[in-house]
Amino acid sequence: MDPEFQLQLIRAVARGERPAFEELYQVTGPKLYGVAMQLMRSPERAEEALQEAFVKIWHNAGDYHQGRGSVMTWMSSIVRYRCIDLLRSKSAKEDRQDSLDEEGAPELIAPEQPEDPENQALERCMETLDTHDLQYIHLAYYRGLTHAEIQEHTGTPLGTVKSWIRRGLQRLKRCLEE
Amino acid sequence: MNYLNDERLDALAADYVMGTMQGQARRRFVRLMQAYQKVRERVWHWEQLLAPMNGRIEAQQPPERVWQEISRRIGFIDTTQNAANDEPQSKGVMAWTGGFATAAVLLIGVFLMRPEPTVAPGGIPETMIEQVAVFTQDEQPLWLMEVAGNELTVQATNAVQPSDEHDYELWIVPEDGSAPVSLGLMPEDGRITRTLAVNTHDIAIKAVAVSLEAPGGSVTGAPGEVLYVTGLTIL
Repeated sequence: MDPEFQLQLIRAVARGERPAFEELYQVTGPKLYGVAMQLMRSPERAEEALQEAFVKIWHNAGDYHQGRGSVMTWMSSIVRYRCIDLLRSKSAKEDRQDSLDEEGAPELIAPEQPEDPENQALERCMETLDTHDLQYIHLAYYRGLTHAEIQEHTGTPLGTVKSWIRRGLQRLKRCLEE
Repeated sequence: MNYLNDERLDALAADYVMGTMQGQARRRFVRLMQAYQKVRERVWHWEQLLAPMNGRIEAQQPPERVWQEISRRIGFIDTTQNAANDEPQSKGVMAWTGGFATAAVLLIGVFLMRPEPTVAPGGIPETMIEQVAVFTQDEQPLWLMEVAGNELTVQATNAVQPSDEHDYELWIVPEDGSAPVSLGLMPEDGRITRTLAVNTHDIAIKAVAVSLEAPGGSVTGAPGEVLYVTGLTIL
């Protein structure tokens, strides 16, 4: 995906150009649907989150600026926050408990090493983390679990969950900023 | 303010971006983001640090209906039929139609002070504007809404607080007590123009209202928390 092309598209979308919005959806939709599926674990709920995120992207394209990172970073954040809101709703929590209770829930994360330099830096820094820190960061980021849900899922005390995630993130940050 | 201690702010921003912050704490943090550039920047920094984690997630082709639904919701396709089918459920209309007299008094003054009385590119000449409303809070104008033909234009003022956690949605409240009808999301800054899927001239309108919704707008078809109500003036 070409960040420069996405930047041109989002600027056109901010001017209300509909073909640019459709193009932006075509080029980013599959990745963002993957992000939504990863968190929601349900095609229906992932579709709902993606739709709502794109409606927001259409209306708020003018808010995008390069201080937000790449267009893809900005859009991914909108999708993630929408998913998180939906996951925190009561009915979703009930569905989710069922999915957490299932053994062998589908793993959607690609096993191969990504080629993007930013991804390689992240992979390298991830390797420096303690196993627990990494596991809990994954449960929060990829599964959208709260501290309390990680506590329930792993049996680890809440304070420990919080401090391991916090410690892991700070190490990750230091490593990525080097 | 305690929150703005650098180390604490960094940890909170990370919690927010990870999604582990929830409930009241998340809402409080969103208010801090609205108020302080420093807080927003720290969140953006974490978003960028963690975004490469998405690199490990495999892309998947969404079903065709997703784009169809997005197009319908933002008015790319004629949704008159769908809008009639999707009519929202009535939800305490009477409870939130009171108290718009003050806003109506302010209406004319704000309308006359409009900074851009000329034609916007691709927009509607001002002489064709037929219906107008202004939403205010504490006598401070927030949005100016105009309808010309089937084109709706909404201009946000600087007093509108942008939010990543919520959207504002515009509704018309019919005089006959039937369910409020959504006119779509409100801009959080700048100005938007879009084609209305409903003909506001064919409905006897009691009031127009703005509700607070999750990002993307109401998922139930009925308004959430109603924040502002005002009258629609016919010019």
